[in-house]
Formats: sequence, C-alpha cells, structure tokens
Amino acid sequence: MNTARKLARSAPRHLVLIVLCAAMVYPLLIMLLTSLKSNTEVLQNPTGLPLSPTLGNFLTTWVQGDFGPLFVNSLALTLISMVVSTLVAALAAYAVVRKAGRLGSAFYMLLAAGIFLPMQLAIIPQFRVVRSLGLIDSYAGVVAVYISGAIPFGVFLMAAFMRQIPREIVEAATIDGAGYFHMFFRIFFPLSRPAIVTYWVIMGVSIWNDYLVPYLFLTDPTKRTLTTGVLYFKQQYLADWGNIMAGVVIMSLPVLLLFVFAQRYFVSGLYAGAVK
Amino acid sequence: MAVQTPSRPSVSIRAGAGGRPARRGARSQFWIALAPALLLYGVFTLWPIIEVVLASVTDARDLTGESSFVGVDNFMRMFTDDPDLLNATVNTGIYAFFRIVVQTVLAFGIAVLLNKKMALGNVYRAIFFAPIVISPVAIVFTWSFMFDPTSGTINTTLRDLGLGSLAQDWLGDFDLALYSVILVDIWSSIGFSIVIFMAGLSTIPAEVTEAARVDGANAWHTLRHITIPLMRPTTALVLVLAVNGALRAFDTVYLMTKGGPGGATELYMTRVFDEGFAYNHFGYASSMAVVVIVALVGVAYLQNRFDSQVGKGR
Repeated sequence: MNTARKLARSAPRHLVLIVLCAAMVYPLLIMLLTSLKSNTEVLQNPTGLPLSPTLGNFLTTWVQGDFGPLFVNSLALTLISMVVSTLVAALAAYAVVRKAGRLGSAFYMLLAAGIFLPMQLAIIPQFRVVRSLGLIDSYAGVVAVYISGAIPFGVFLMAAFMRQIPREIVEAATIDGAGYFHMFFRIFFPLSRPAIVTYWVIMGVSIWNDYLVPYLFLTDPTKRTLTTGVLYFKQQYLADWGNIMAGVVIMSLPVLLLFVFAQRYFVSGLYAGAVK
Repeated sequence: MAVQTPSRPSVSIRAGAGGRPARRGARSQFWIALAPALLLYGVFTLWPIIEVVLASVTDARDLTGESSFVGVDNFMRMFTDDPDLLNATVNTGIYAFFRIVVQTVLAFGIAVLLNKKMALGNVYRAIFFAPIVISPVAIVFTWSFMFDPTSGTINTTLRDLGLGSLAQDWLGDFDLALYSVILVDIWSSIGFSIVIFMAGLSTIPAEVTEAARVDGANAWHTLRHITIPLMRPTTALVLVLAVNGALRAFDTVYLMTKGGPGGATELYMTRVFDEGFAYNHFGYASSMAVVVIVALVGVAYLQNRFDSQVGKGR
C-alpha cells in the first residue's frame, strides 16, 4: 500500500525524466546502432534496430582507416601531455602556495588567468611560435601546446588543494630536515591526489577529444590522431555511415567508459572549473 | 590563501649552517619550481596572446609578412563597415539567446527533478552528463547523419510517422540551419548546466523545504517561493557560463556547416578564425579577437562576483 502510493507519487517525475532521457540518449543510440549496420542496411533502415547486426564495420574501419596507429597516437599524445603537465602544474602550484606574499599570488593569478582564454583566438600566433621553433609536424609542438593549455586549470585545481594542507605537517617535515623539493614529492604532491585525478579526468578527456591542434599543426598522415583520423576518414568515405559511425564509436568508447567509472570526478571537476 | 606556509622555518634551520647562501637557495627553489610552467605557458599561451593584442593595431596580412601600424582602423571597420561580422554577431546573439534562455530553463527543471534520491537516479544523471565527454568530431558526425535530408534518421522517422511534410533540409535550409546548430550545442552542453544547478540545489538544507511542506506548501509553492529565490546566485552563474559558452561557440559550426548555407550559421568565433586562417588577415582577425577577449574578461569579472555570492550562500 505504502510503496504503491510512493510509486504513484513519483510516477510523473519518472515519466518526465524518461522522456527527456530518451531524447538525450537518442543520438548516442543512433551512433551505436548505425555502427552495427552494414552500409546498405543503413540506407534501407536508418532508424530501427539492426536486422543483421555486424561488427564488420569495425573491422573494415580499423583496417582501412589505419585505426591501430591512430589509437596509439592519441593515447601517446594524451598520456605524455598529461604526465608532463601534471608535474609542471603541480610544481608551479606548490611554488605559489608556499611563497608568502604578493609574488606568490601574482604568479598564481597570471597562470590561472589562462582558464578563460579560448585558444582558437591565439592559434595563429601560436602556429607561428611552433613553426619558428621548428616544431610543426612534430609531436613535441602539439604536446607543448597541450601542456601550456592545461597548466592554468592544473595550477588552479592543485593550488586549491595544497592550500588545505595543514601547516603542522609542513612544520614537522621541516624539523625533520625535509628540503623544498623533498617536501613537494613526499607531502604536497601525494596529498593532492584527488585534485590530480580530477585534473586527469577533465584535461585528459579534453586532449583526447581535441581535433584542432593536430589538424592544424600536424601534416604527416602517419601522425594523425583518432579525431583527425576520423575527420579524414569521413572525407574519404562520404556516406558510408556504418563505417564512419564505427570510427566515431572507437573514438568515443574510451572516454565514455572513463566517464562511467569516474563520474564523480567529472562532476566535481566541471563544478570547480565553473566556480573558479 | 588560508594556509600560507612560509618557507622561513626551513631557511632558519639551514641558515644556522650558512646564513645568506641558504636564503638565496630558498628563493631560487621557488623559481626552479615555477620555471617549467612559466616557460611553457609564457611561450605557447601568453606570448601568442600578446602578439594578438599587438597585431590588432596593424594591417598584418599573413603569418610572416610585413605589417604597419594602422591605429584603431581595424576596430572602426569592425563596428562600422563589416557586414559579414555584423551577420556573425547577430547569429551569435540568436545563438546566445537560446543557450541562455532555453538551456537554462530546461537545465533548471531537470536539476530539480533529479535532485532527489530515487530509483534510476544514477542512470538519468549519467545520460544527461554523458554528451559532455564526447568529442566534437563524434558529436558532429552523429548529428550530421541524423540531419541528413534523404537518409537521415530525423526525416526518415517523420516520414514513417506520416509526417513527411515536416521533413526538412535541417542544415541546408537558410532559415533553419542556425537552429539545428543550436540544438546540437544545447544537447551537448546541457549536462554542464545541470551539474552546476545540482551543486546549487544540494546546498539548500532539506529542513527548509521540509518545513515549508509541513506548513502546508505544495510542491509548486515550495519551488516558487523557496527553491527559486535560494537558487538566484547559482542561476546567475549558469547564465554567465551560458554567455561564455555562446561567445566561445566554434566546434559545431566549424565542423558541421562551415558557417553555411550563405553565412546562416556563421558565428563570431568562426568568423575570427576564417578571417585569420582562410583569408590571412591576421591584423584584422586580431582586432576581432581582442574585442572578444575584453568581453570574456568582463564575463569572468561578473562570474567572480556571482561566485562569491554562491560561496556566501553555502
């Protein structure tokens, strides 16, 4: 009786949410279902469930689009950028947090200010800088651009965390004779782990998803990433939607899986970025 | 700024061993820790931005060539004599209106519905948030397929339902294309607004709404007289973020419509990009960029003011 009444009362809420969720999930379903249809079936049956589901698209896309190397390239670029930028941003956050007075907060402001700058605006002079350093068509240039773009958010997240580290810990470590960098590696860096996880989840996904930097800064086809690879693949296989969607699924699956397992870090990271 | 941990103690302890050199050591350690970030950020972010500002008062034509000082000519032209930019700005205004009004109202409603412990709550949340993590490339290709006028899922579904007369050329129709772009971007970013609203809602103590209910207020009254007023700072923040998102909007247009048909979906940011990259008018593109940077600084200032209010609310 009681549960029935509860159910009846929450039914309208669920009904509205289910309708809205159906609209939200529809494009994702289309993405997945289309990838399981042969190119001919897509044309005959674009909306329904696949009548003869096939993984053939994944095979042909993977082979013809050379997705193995693309996948490795995306992974390598993302990992290298994240590892280096985590260390660089954490060190900078440590420096500004431990520096008392104006100098520390001035540098903090300077570094964190980058969060709200959309880099498309500066991509032409950025291109010029990368080219004058001889780094066009090299991963070093792309990684450098990614790191510099990721530093502001990293410094912001990690500095916020490091400021919470109790003074007593620092004083105790000082008495034990811990030096400046020793204290960073032994205390500040490990204690910032939640901030670092949030940073990895948010920045890692945004680097994995980025297409503009590799699109403009890399010309060698063997250096393409998943995003630019799929862009070129689409130009080649114009209306082979089954194959194109297979590529889209291959590119999206890792981030969607990460999202499922790390949802709360996404949520806290998005919120932190919004209320900077 | 709460916990300032001065490096003094370490200095004083080492100072016993050697006085001034240790102090200098502590200072250089600060710079050593900061140097990699400053170097990378300085070369690849700050310097390009400075170059944009410097170029905004020149007639720089391409990536390397000569340029001469033209004062505020670029800005004068932007505001008085650039129909393409005017078109892009008007489109950005329409785009912003929908992102601000429709997305905010929808997101608020969804956040209120989700703000309750219930069966499937996690599933609903995951579905609303999931599009945030998907690459613009994936989003655009999926929607391009859905919008396809002949074999796309939207038109096919309409025809199957006997509503074939409603089938449209979603991206090719001059009057419709901008709204199709807006739909895609609301779909992909509404989860972000919901996240912010839900964080705001979680700060409203359950006792407050409970007390209202005890006093006989129905759900609508509670929402109208308690939740909405208490959510004012959060709403302001979401609105500011929507303005920010509208000023930055770029990917969907760049990848899906290229500003077409006939400039119908050209936005401010894609205009800046084309002016610089496609037409090589670096000086003029820089002036446009400077204007939007100023606008973004203004938005960031507002955002900070609302943040402190949200903070006080907690």
